Amino acid sequence: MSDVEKFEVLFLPSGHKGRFAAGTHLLDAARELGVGIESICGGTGACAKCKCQVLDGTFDDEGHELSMGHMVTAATRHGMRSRESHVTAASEHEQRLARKHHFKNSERLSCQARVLGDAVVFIPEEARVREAIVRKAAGKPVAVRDLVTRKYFVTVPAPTLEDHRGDWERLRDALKAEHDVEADIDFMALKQLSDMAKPQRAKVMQLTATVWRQDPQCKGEVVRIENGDTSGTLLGLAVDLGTTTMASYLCDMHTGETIATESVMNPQIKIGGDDVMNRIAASDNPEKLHRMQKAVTGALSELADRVTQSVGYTAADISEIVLVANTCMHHIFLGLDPDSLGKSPFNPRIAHSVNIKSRDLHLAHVLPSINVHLLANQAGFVGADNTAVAIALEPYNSDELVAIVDIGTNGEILVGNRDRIYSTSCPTGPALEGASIKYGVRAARGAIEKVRIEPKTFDVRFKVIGKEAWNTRLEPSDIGAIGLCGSAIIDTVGELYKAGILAANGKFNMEIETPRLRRGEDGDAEFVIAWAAETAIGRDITMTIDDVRNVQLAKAAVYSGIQVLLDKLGRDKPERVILAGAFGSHLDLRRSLMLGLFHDVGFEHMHSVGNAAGDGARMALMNRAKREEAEHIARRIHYVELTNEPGFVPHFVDATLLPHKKHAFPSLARYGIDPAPPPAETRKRRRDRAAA
Amino acid sequence: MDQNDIAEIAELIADLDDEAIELVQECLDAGLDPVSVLKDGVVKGLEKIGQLFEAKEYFLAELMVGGELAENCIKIINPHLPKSGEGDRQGCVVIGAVAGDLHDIGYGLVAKQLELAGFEVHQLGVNVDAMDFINAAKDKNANIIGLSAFLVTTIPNCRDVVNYVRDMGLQDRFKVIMGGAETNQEKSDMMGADGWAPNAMEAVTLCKNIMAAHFGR
Repeated sequence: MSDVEKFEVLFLPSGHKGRFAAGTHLLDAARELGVGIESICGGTGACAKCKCQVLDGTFDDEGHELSMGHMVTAATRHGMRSRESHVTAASEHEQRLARKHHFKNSERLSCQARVLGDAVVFIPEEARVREAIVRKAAGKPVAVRDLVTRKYFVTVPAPTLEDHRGDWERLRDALKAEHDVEADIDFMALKQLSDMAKPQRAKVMQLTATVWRQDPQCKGEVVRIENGDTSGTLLGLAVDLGTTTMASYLCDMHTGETIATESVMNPQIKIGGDDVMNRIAASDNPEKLHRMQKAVTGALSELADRVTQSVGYTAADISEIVLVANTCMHHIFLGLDPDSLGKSPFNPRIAHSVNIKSRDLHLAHVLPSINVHLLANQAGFVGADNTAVAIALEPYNSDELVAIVDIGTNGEILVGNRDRIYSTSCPTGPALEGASIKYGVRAARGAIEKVRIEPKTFDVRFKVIGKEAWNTRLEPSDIGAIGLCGSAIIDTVGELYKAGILAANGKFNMEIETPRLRRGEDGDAEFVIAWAAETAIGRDITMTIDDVRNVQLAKAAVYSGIQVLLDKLGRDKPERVILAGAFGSHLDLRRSLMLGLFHDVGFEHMHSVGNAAGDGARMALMNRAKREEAEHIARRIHYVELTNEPGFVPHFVDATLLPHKKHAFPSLARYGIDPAPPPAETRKRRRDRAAA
Repeated sequence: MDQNDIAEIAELIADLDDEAIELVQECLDAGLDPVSVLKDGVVKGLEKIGQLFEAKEYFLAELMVGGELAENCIKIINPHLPKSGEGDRQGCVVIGAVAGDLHDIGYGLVAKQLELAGFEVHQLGVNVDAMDFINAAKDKNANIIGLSAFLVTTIPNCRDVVNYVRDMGLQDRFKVIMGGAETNQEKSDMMGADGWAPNAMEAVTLCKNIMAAHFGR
């Protein structure tokens, strides 16, 4: 069947158009054309975000519907006849989702509907991808102690009939004589040397050699030769490759400062879906694995180009790259099949650090000879990015028992002190990032990011990204809310609990009288955060009982993950809680505590530290000792597989309650929340049977 | 003591009130029919918990506590039940998490609910090889094989079990059902399973329906 019939698909409002084989999913068609449709689950038909509408009618090239008058003119030859029936009918699964998410009659999931004929497809406001706010800002300058890659300015004597050593040998000997540096030379640098030596034949040469020296005990390697003295400029690139976002930090390796940053979305999403498990599943197909590797190395090349250009350099000025990633992203970046990470016993292909030449990764723009250093992984689910967090925050030098929580689609947890450290990965699921939440969205313009609920009146104040003022100070029509991003989801559950609207078991208290608390069309309880008039989507933005349940599961995963590690250490509570990660740094710590995301260690002992993984990567870029520390600590941290721990299930169930079934939260007393754990759920209400 | 007290047991269990245990004991001491104490008291209470779960009034913690409470009640009733209870058995289920999968919360809940609903349930644990499901099903003379897969990466392993059942010509003897957070009806159909349920409560209904449709119960 080589002649698969092809049909025209036109996306509105963007106007992108292309021809696609029958059976192509609309979402794939959109991606091929570069039309952004929101999809959090990666097209698996789980998140119900990729809504679209297949229009009925005849349309011109720009998607204007043609009137009957037009139709009879010659122009109708170019008219596109679109019918709802030109895509496959909704499966039972899709219909169920559509009911649950209150789709309008003709709305479809673009990841489910397949092309059967010409179709004009309208993407509604809430399903359009907006430019995500990439929240991976750089931190403070890093202290530079012992650089792995350095530049040396050398004067290479002219060759004579008496001294007929080769150009390289004269350079090598000069490096040794002037700087006491022993080195070999990379082939590409040798080519550079030969290109420079030719016009300066038989003259004294003044050159700058960039030397990468992995091991101070061993010889270094010259990776770049430049004319003249360029030793004042020494640039390195630190990269934090996340499942969703890839951030780069261009560093001046003399001062430790970050001179520019650039981020992109991880392009693998389009090929392998949005979470780690889907990427692993996609890697089963070698062709997809190859495409995902190419996509991410290509994106790194582009980032290197952009970030250097932005401050007047070129990517060829980068002398070394340090990259941190979770184990799956690490493996795909190297083109290693991550298959083993997806199944018990979840072992990685390699745990130790990796040094690899840029040319072996086919990186463009940067020199082929430079080194790319990947920090050590700890285990299948705790990768180099967490090792970077560890070297940035150094829990292994702490007397206090610290719990470090890095929340993403998977939460990574470190608990310990100088004596012993445990790590684990907990399945938070995508709820805290907005997926599996009815009105959940990514952090983008228009997303509600903060929510406050008045305990007496149940009035709601909220703030959307892109507006300075809270909603109460804006005209409703000027607010344009599109949904709830992660920080707002946490805020809402915390505030609902504080206001008594949610009981400890996560149930809405329907006796409270406010128009915001109601039953939705499906009869499920929900609370209105933004009225339709305050939104850009034309319907009330609510938090439903199902959303609350999903948040309960996510927060219980984090809390019980910490608890299992505490059990290992024989301790009840950490002494300090640190939220790391881009997401964590935008969470409101008080609201996070209200819903019981972690243990109550007192507000003064809770911090968020921003992107510690990026900090660790920058430290490793500019300090040999930090790389050694990473290698060492990655082997010393004891990884615990939660699902293999008998204590996990009971801890998990206890932690589904707000804030917790058994643990006290004294810090919440000031918010009018009973600090004692809720009484056992048995209600002694046995009736007087004697009367019966 | 009378039928009202038995109804009260159901109420207490639905309210997660452990006085249910004492009341069960009192009813038995008073000579009430133990089968009725079980069916109209404890099982009825569990059904109410199920309804509250469906209505989203109860969540995991309540399900867990209610299950434990009912179990404690059943322990007291069991010695009083007539021995030839075979006819009352709903059916036999072997259940576990498929190869590569270590998640035991989900299928543990399903096993508990099935047991409470009167099924004979054999838990096979996590990371169970396809052939071990078949062997256990033969060994226990099961009707239903329950597969739990929580990861997109382990869902494909369900197909191995289905294939073994078919290749060995056992499809009339064993029906294969599956579930887990990342599964849905479509994926279940893709794996060739005979049934799928989204949660523990519906898994009970699913098993009852299978027993009625294929095994004449």
